[in-house]
Order: sequence, then structure tokens, then C-alpha cells
Amino acid sequence: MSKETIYYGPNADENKKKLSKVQDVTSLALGVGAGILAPEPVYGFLFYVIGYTVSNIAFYITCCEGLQGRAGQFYKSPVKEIFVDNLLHNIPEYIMMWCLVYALVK
Amino acid sequence: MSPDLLLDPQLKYWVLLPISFVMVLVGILRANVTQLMSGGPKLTPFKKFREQSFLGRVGAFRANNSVLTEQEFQQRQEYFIATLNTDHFYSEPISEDDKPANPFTDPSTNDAMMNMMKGNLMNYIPQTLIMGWINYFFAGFVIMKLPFPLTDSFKQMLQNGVATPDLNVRYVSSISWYFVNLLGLRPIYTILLQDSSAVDALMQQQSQTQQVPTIGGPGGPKVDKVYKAEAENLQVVDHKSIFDGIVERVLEAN
Repeated sequence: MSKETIYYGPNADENKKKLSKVQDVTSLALGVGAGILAPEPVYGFLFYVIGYTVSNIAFYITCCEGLQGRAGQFYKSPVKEIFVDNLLHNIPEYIMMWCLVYALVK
Repeated sequence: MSPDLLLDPQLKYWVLLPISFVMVLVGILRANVTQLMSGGPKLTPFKKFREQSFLGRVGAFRANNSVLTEQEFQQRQEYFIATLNTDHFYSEPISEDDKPANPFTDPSTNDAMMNMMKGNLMNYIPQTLIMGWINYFFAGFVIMKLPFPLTDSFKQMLQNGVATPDLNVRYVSSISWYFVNLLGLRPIYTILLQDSSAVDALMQQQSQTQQVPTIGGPGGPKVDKVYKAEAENLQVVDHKSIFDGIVERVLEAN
């Protein structure tokens, strides 16, 4: 019989909130970095995707204890929720910071 | 590659940053005002609640009557049936006409409409004001160069009011910075407000999706019908007490 984990709603929400906070700050910081480095457009978006994924991996390992295989205790579908769901959602923030810092340091 | 345009460095201090600053402040103000106007949770009138909870009580009795002895069951059944057939627990007197009430005379519906209107006002007024402000003060010049190229179809929107038809689309006017801010300020609000539900409401307002208020339709079944039906259900309840033959069962088990 397979064991099914039951998630307590408020706790799951809290976990999601924490994750999205980390991701918000990450995309803002990446935007600042991109503005200063002023990469070519294609590399700019690549920079976002790579930096974002690296920070998500760090989150997965440190906060979710993913290496011990415990991420499933915190998120229903950890890989999807951590790595994929907010990728597009956070792009406007990145672009805003990128534009702002780019314009400021130029 | 066309040569770079020289932009006055003062532009960023007097146009770019003020726009962001004002938008952040207005967003926070709006979140607070929305919270103030939304008020507390609405209470159910106690008679309405009593009506519901009496029905709940009857339901519980029907579900759990096996813990009662025969005599206790009889007593309660009589009481419930008698009470269900009177209007003692009705929240309002039953009107004779069968017409469903007009949903627009219902005060709760009016409340919902009012809330929707408030939300829309809170949505449109600040946006119109800020856009008007930007168009009034900062119209007609290029303020920044975007870090990435765009296709020419964005020209219409992003270089609105700039009188140079052949300018590279990367140079944009102030109104486009406003749009970028509109989309990208969510994490700033999240960090400043520490309350993501308010932020979600805010971003939802900004994305102009309107939520339809829950307007009470032309009512469920009338309460007297529900009570009558419940009384009939109660009449046919088959009572089987757990105390029936308990001595034999205990002795058998040993």
C-alpha cells in the first residue's frame, strides 16, 4: 500500500509563500545584476533562467532538504512547484529591475 | 548598429525614479484604503442562524439516534416533529405568494454590488490619475533605453508622443516605464506590505479582471417546505437502539 502524504492547508500555503518570497527577491537581484553587467538581450534572459534555477536548486537543497528526499513533505509536486511554476510569473519583475538599473548606470 | 543617443543624466533622477516612487506609494495607499473599506466579516442574523442550526440538530438526531433508548427516542421524535410543524424557528414569517423575491431588493445583493463598485473605483481612479500625471508632465520625450530590442510594432505604444518616426524602438517614452512598473512592482509590494493576500488583491485589480459578485439568485427552497420535508423524514426513521439485547451480546462475547 502506498503511503499518501496529507498536507495541512495553511502550512502548505506558508511554504509556498516562503518559496515565492525567495523567488521574488532572486528575480529582483538578478535584474540588478543584469542591469549592471548589461549583457546582450539573449544572454540577459539566459542569465535570468540560469540564475533563477541555481537559486531554486539552492532552495531545494537547503530549505526542502531535497538531497534527503524530503521535498515531498513540503510541496505536493516539489520539482514543478519550485522550478517551473513561477518562472514566467517573475519575468516582469526581472525586466523592471533590469531596465531601471540599466538606465541608471548607463 | 546605430550610434547611441545621448540622454540627459538628469532624466533618470527627475523622471524615472519619481515615477517608480509614486507608483509604489500609490500602490501601498491603495492596499491600505481597500483594507479599510472592505470592513469586517459579515454576520448572519441570529434568527437565520437559529433556523439553520435547528435543522442541523434534527439532522444530527436522525444520524445518531441509535445511542438513545426507545423511550428517549420517542420523546425527541415527538418534540422535533411537533416543532418542525410550527413556525417557531422560522427566521421570517412565511409569505403566501409564491413569487420569488426580486434579487435587487435584497440588501445583501446591494452590498455585493456596492463592493464591486468600490473595487472598480479603487482600480480606475489611481490608474487614471497616474497615467494622466505622467502624460501631463513627462509627455513627448525619450527617457530611457531598454536593454533589449523590440519589434517595430511596439513603436506605437512605447514611443507615443515622441516625434521622431525613425527612432530605434529601444528608446522609449515615460509611459512605457509606467507599464513596466505596473507589471513588475508585485515583489516590492510583497516585501513592503508583508501580506501577500493584500498584494494578490492589488495585482488582481491592476490586471483588470473583474470578479463577479455573488448575487443571491431567486432563493433556494422556502424554509417551510424544508421543515415539512424534514418532519416527514423524521416520521419514518427506523429506530434501532444499541441497548437492544445488550446483555445477551455482552454475555455471548465473553
